[in-house]
Amino acid sequence: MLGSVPPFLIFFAGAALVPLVRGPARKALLLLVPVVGALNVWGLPAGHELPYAFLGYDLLPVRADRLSLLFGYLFHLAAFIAVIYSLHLGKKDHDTVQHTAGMVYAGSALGAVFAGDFITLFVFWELLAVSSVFLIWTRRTPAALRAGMRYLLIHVVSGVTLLAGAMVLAHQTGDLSFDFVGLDGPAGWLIFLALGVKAAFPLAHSWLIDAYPEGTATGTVFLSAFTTKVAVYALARGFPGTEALVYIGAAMACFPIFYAVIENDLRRTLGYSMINQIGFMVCGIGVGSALAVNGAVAHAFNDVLFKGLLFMSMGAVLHMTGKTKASELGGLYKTMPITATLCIVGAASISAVPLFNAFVSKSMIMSALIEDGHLWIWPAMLFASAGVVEHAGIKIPFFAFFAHDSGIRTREPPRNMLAAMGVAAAACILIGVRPGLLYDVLPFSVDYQPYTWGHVLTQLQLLAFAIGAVAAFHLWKRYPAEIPSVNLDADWSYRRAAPWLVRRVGGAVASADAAFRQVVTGGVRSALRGAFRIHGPWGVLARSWPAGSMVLWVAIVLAAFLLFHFL
Amino acid sequence: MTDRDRAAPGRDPSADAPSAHGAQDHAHRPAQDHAHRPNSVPAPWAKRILQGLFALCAVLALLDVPALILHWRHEEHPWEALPVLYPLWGFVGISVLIVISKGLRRLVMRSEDYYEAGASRADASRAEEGDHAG
Repeated sequence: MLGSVPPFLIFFAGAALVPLVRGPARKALLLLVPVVGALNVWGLPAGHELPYAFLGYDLLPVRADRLSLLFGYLFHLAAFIAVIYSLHLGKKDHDTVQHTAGMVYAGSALGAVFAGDFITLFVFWELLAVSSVFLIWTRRTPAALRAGMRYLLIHVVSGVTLLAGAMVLAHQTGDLSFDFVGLDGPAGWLIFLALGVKAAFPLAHSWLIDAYPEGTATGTVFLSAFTTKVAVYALARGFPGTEALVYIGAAMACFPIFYAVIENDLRRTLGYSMINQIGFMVCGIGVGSALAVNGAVAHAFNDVLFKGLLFMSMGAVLHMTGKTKASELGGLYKTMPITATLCIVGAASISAVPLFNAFVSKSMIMSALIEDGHLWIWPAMLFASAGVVEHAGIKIPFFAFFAHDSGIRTREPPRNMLAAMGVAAAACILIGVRPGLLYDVLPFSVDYQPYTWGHVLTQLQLLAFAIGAVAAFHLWKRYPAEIPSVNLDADWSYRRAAPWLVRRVGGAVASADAAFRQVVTGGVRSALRGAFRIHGPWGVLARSWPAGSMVLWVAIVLAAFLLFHFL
Repeated sequence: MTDRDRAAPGRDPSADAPSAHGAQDHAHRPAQDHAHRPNSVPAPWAKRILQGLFALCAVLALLDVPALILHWRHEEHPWEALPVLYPLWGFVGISVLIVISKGLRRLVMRSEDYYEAGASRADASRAEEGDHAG
């Protein structure tokens, strides 16, 4: 039977059962779902398809090939880690809502990557948004409620844009299957835009840094794994080799690192870091060669592990201290040494230190950029790589666990949180040391040798001198201090500018409308007054009414008759 | 933008002595207090870690000499033939990053309740409108 069930169904069944059980049974169920799902996907052969006819369209709810299977494995691993991380949740954390939403969310992500047509993709695209928003709302702060609403609106718009693109495509080609789309014609652009919003393209990125830091400690771990990676998958499927993606990816890799330096909320810093990492993937997809796409999807795989690990370590800090702001934290290594160590493993992984997982995937993308002749994008990406070390490699662990002593004395987080972080950290190191494990299941077979002396040396030089620069700025006391603050970003446009504009324009329209109404009603009123003056009870025509009026009209008719007669 | 919305643009509390603008400083007191808290890592440890880091940097930079002579580095990008390219790119890149980010702070940094204050004002005015309607 295994190997024939659509992967998302197992998670949806799990979600349906979650509210029915509590305690150890709930925990067993939550752990069992990703394990059974993984066995099922493991049994799916590449090339497996499950066609389904619906309303006259030939749909393909399940399509397994090397690309979708890789993301399938990844999402099962991510769901397993996130489930372990959220096992401790109790009634006061609204555990049933969080667990159910997490299961539906993971199932939707699986549904989206195995979708073989645009209708199926659209359905799971919207389900991703609707299920994940509960992981933000469950935090139950006013800020989380508002951020969740903005998040939901933006993602629903992305889904509707996707549907519009799919409809145009179906109209043009009569085919709804989700394969290479490309940017010729309006359908391609609409779909590109929809994917771009979910992949956090520049200017469409602010939902991520707005909403992710507002999620619950455990919810943000789920959030970091799925939504953006589904978008990366969809770009790799629909737009490989699209030149524009190289430049978009470079912009995504470079601009968030400036914000990450000055951001005070450490989970928001990780949000910026996430956009930076997706930039590397988008760039690789834009190059489109076998090496580049392999690098991009391998980097997506690795990013789920190390970014998940970093979000988990900050989630553990939030869980134990109730704080995630650099200005309120510091010195936690004394009481949370294990969490600090695991956080440093995540920091080393994201920084692409040799023997950690990003080292290989990032170098694949960098090499592919040069091979493809993007000689001016390469230095920018090298700068972005150094920037990663600064904000994710140093800043996150430094301000949370070291830096100024905040005086907070706490304990290590619950054991399940440590275990989840341990699994992610082990996976980061395992893939770094034995890259073949991951690289054998990549979509294309490419022979790439990352561990050469020259490459290890240059990477270590880049990292050591980047860290040296940060240390030097600290020593000179010129490093940007942690200041309680928010930084204006693209979300300012719809959180401040648009409401202001609506109020202003609305006010102007309302006053113009009022003036217009006054003019019109004034005119009508004076016309009525005039009519009343002539025809009213005291009017000229009323004075001799009815005989006088009749004589007058007879005189007028006779005069007219006389006039016509003479003419 | 009101003064209340502006959170110490560009001022680095750890870098300078308290400024002359006493009244304005009041709002930033927490950050300054924070910066004056003791470092959590004992100074001798920190010193040793930094010495180790700078020594590592020196060794790695010097390794560029044999790397270039013996062609350990298989140059793919034309710039890669330059000696100490990677150390330079790492150090200068991060320095420029930090300097520009501090400039960016002057432009985009606002007080922590920048959006929340607006949201609660909007809530209040909505409630007021609701009262009028009622």
